[in-house]
Amino acid sequence: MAQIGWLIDLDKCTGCDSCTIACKSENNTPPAASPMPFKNGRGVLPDGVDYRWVVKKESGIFPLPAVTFVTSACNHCRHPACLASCPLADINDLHNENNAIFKREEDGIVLINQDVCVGCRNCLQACPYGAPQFNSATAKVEKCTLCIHRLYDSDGRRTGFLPACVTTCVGDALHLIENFDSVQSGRNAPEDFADAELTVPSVEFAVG
Amino acid sequence: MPNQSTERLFSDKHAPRSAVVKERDGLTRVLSRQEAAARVKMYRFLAAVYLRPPNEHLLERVVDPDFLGELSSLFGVRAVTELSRFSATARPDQELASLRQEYMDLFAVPTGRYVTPFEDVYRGGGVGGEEGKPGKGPLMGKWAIAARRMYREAGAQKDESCTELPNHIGIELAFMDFLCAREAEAYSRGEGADPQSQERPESLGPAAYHLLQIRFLQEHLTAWFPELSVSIQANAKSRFYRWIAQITEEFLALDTAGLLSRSVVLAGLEKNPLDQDKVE
Amino acid sequence: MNRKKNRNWINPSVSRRTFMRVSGVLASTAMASQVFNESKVVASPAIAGNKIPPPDGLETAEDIIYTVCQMCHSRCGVRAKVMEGVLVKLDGNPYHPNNRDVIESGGADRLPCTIAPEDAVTELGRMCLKGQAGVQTVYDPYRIQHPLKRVGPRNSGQWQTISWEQAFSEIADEINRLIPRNQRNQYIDPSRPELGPKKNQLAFAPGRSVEKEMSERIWKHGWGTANYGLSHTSVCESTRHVANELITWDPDGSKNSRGAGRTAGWQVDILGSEYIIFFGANPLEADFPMVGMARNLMHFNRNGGKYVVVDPRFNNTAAKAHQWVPITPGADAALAMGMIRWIIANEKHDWDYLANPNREAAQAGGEATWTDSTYLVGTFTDAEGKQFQRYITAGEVGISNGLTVQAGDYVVRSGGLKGHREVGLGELDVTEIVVIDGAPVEAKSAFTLLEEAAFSKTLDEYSSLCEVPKDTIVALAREFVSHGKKAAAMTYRGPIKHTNGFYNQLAIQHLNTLIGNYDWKGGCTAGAGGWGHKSGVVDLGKVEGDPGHTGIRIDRAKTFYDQSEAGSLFTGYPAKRPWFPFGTHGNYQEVIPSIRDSYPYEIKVLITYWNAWPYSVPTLKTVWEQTMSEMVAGEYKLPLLVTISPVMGEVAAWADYVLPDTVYLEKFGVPGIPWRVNKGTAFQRPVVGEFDGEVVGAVGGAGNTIPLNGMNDYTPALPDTKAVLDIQIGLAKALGLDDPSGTHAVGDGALRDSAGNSVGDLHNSWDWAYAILRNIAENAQADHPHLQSLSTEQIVSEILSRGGVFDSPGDEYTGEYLTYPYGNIIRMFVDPVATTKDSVTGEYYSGVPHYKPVVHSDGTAIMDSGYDLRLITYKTVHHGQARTNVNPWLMLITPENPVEISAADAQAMEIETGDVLRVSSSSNPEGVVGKALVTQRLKPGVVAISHHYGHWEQGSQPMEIDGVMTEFDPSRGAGIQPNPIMRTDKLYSNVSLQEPIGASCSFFDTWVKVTKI
Repeated sequence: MAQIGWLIDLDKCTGCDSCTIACKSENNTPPAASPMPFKNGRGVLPDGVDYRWVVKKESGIFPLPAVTFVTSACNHCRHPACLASCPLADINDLHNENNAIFKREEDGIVLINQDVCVGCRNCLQACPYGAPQFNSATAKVEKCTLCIHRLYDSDGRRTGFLPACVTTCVGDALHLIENFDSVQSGRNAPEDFADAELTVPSVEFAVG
Repeated sequence: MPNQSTERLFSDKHAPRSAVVKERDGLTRVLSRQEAAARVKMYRFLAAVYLRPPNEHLLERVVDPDFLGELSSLFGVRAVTELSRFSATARPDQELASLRQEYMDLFAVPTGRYVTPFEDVYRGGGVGGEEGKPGKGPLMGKWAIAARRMYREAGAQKDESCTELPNHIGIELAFMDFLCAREAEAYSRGEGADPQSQERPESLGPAAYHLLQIRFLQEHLTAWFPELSVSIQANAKSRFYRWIAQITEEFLALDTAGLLSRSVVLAGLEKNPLDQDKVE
Repeated sequence: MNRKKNRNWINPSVSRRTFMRVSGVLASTAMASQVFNESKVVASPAIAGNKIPPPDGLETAEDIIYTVCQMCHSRCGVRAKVMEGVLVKLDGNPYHPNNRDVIESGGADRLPCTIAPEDAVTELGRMCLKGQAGVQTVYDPYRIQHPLKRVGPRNSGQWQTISWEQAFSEIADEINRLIPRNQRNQYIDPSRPELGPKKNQLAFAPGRSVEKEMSERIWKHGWGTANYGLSHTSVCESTRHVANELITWDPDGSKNSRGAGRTAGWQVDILGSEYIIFFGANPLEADFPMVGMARNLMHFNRNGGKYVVVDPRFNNTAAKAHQWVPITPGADAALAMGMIRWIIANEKHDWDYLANPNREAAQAGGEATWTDSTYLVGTFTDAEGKQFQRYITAGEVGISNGLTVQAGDYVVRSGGLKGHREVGLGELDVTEIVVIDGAPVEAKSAFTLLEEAAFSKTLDEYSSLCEVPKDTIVALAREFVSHGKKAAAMTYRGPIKHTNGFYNQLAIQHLNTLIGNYDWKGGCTAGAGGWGHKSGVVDLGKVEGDPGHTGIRIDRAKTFYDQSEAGSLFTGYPAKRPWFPFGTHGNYQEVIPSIRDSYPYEIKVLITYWNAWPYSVPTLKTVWEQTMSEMVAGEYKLPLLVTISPVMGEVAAWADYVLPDTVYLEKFGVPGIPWRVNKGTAFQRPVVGEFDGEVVGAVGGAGNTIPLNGMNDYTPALPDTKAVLDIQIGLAKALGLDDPSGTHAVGDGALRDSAGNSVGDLHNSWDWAYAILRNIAENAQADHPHLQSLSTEQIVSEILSRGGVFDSPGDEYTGEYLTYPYGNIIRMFVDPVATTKDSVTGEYYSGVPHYKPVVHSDGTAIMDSGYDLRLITYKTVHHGQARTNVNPWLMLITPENPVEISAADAQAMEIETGDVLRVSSSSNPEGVVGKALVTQRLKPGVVAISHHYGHWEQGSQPMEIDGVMTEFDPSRGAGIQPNPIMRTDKLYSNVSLQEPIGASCSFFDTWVKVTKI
């Protein structure tokens, strides 16, 4: 069946983090309100869960510095490392919704089943992209769902809505590909992007 | 007296079944209506305590030793300890001004020892805060939405003069007041106890209101009040508000348990009216 | 407790009886009243077994409400998703050109207004992260929920809540005590009538006021104070506005006694352009509208455009630019004048454009604008022997004939001296002696003056001043003139907020003038504006019994200090405090120091709104605290401070009364659209709360329109807060400004049409909003075919249901021109300024752009020896001004701001990222302490600390009340605020360095020292 994937236009990402916050607002990921929660209660690192974020890499030397912006989220891989590493998921039965992590057959979206997940965090280690995030309140792992609740209505029909990040992208850099061709996986990937052959992520990049 | 009537009911095994049921039903309704009416008063009082500052009448009553005795038989000694200590030292004329300021500091002004008495703040937070406690949530969110839905479903509309958010502790307690009041009315109307009734809300039976009460207590009030209580007790200077928090928590727990067991009873009576095993 | 938990209510007779008695006793304490009544609306019958439906379900048209964002000043459109009256999500408005305009290939992306909202449910506009975080602004748990009155001394953190009635009546009583009715019109000082009457001693200071028409109605046309609107613009970009006003000056205007500008600003038409140089502008992070400009810039890049960023810091806009030009702070005029020198030297300026002396000549040449390049300017000597310059008039040189040449016409040389309107072109290079009143006067064309200013330094000298290589200056200039009209030079605060900012702005802006790109596709736009909201059906400023106002403002803005306007107040140079006759946007940083000095008079009542004075203004914190705490004879010297604010900010903490207003998602307004080529009027309205008891956004409730036939009393989301419009009306009523036989600013029949007939009541914010809506409807109807056959009420519904009224996609261009032109004169020589002497130095200002160094108010150089690094500040994309430390999502990304130091400087000082540094200035040797971030993204010699952080109020610190610490969120105060270490002026040591003409506060002229701790 068809895989939904991402097209990220690297030239157009302005590094504004609007995708990050639109996702947080859509999915109500914490922190919800003041006071800011901190990891380990030490007031240094805020404790939150982000399904999408923007990687900002600086390089170069004055007067020719450079900064690149790459928006990053779950890539709903063809061979998800999270699923493979999950003790409560069968990689040979990956579409089974009773897995703690499963991959939908109809559109390739990879989901973490919150009723089954026990928070072992293997997937955090396995994912090359950092998509799974540990929620310290639920003690489980969650991640980008490709806004499946926006894409489909309660009868399972496509709605015409897009994921919150795609909808809001200020630079017009982030797009959905309805029929992602895994041959294009990792095409034009930026420097230091994981080798696409590892998990065959459903993402390709555009330049120029 | 209620006990006696109940005993008489349950001892009357050989009376014709329908007559027994009718009579028992009638008595149950009377008792239930009185009880519902009493619960109305309790919830109305509790709602008011969180919605506005205390007045001198309240202070006078709560320092009365007889009243304290009755309270302790109802709520247990611990719940009354704070109030006892408060009463021992309080003088209503002096205390009132500082209690009113305390009310404002706890419930009205955010730079004081403000406890943000809103359900979503306590339940909408998400990741860990200090020592693994959940972080705080926004003033309104999905719990306010859910509460408002229930208010509408139950046919309750907030009076215009009341200016608080739908998920404020006082409003949620006032909703229990409303549900108990409707329950009491339902007994007076002598309606059946059919929770599946499709009729207009004005004519819902008491069992339907029980269901709503249980739902609201379990899905809302008892899910967050214990944490609000911790916050009030940590921030309150005055024993008075610590006592209020304790008896609110106690009452909510008792009321929930009571409703649950009554549902069992009602269900049991329906199935087998004379089966005493099902009666607690 | 466990023991009791298993009890039920059915059996235990003791507990039941006791329970009934106890509950009876408690209930009888008469505290309670019923909260819930039975609903009149039939509720859903299926109650039993109902599951809770997901609160964030998919929206239908009923759940969508359009309004306008104010998380920064871009004022983008907002699509609010509201379920059960609770705001759930914010996105962009697909009808609004900020949020959507064209797709990459150029086709239309924006929805035309002819599309019904019901058909637009799955159409969303783009919106930045700040807009997205607005949900947290509404539901901020530290919002003030009731009016507060101070208990104890100012800033002691103790408050009691009071009712609105009590607040209004006590405030009015105080005002009436401090400025009694029967004294209001008496002079503050009878020997100084120029100060005006005592009612001037009430000041209204809206940091930002999108509800300007209402606040002017109350304080200018109702109460009648000269201090009716002391707003923030001079800490924003007032000098940019003023410089643009002066180059578009209309002597018949009335901003000050010399006239007024025709426009305050230019922006570049990005989508039509090929080459843009941004000087100190950061559209990918700040500027406005960021969402529109950022999207357009990425599109521009993709279509082969090149843009350059001139800035000491390599910001995000520089990261996507074709070129970054690091420049010395404040030396922008050197770069621009260097480019002008090269352009003129190589004759690359648009001679045809510049030679047009009037509108007809311009139009004949296919231009919408023309310049004063050919007009002659004479050099004169005043009574004290000082030289100044001004335009020469036709009458003076004896060429007026009353027909083709009027006495007041300008003079050009076109085969002899001619009036500017009688010829089709004039000479650009003119130096001549003319005779005026029998005396010889040296006359030069404005163009010649610009040329001489540009040539006064060599390219090498310019290069050394701005530290931009000469080759770069030449390359920029060469490229700039290679794109016809499709090139632009555009500024924002970078060049402006310096003591020389006025001339930086002029120099840069005139790059555009040399190629004549005004009103061309790809050039400069003055903004397409919108359809008027101030008049039409209702004239918003018309008040029966308007008392008018006289006298000098507390900040001495817009007033000349000579005898005719300032009487005996000015006693010689240097002035006691500086004067700002061209400060057409006020002087925000002067207000508090002036109050402290009681100069020119004392203020008794200060009402602030959306105001963060001590936080947002360089150097002001100390003076603020001194001024607010100073006592005279047991009373506060500034006796009454009333603050309208939704949170306990840095100003509110000091107030006597805090009136909690609503946040932007609970307001009516017409905030405007900044400088887009598309025309539109966006309408802001509440998306949460209740109208007449109907919850906005609840199923079966008002949905996305407001019933037009209701009183529509608005109750906000936090029900005991009040929309600012309602606060203004409440204050006005309490002050008696609802008097049909006196001043009738509010109340029954207070709304009037332009003829003065009463056309409506003004009791609440909806009355006002509805008047505005009807005005917009009337003004917009003629331009929108689909509105022609509709009634006013129907058009109002259309406006409400789309968040405004906009032009159609594609309307913005007419061939190669912008459809909505400025269409008037651009002046190279700013005559009114050239004839004015600075109130501190006594020197005439120059009327032409030139490189001017950064100096104190007395003209002396800033010599802070030992302080060798230049401090700059900037806005980041994650935050909006002072108000977003309350949004945890925005604080999450960068919890605190560092001290940014260049790698070269850091190496020399052995500083590494993470080191704790003290940054201090000669004005504040104690300085601020922050953490170092060593970066390649900064010009060596410059240190950068962003704005937005380092709050000391707004929920960031605890108060100690009776020995108990209050709840607070320290993360709200994380980071550092550089304002308190900025440089004060040498002469006026309680105010920052300032730019004297446009009245800007300097933000980038502080020399600092950085030491490791």
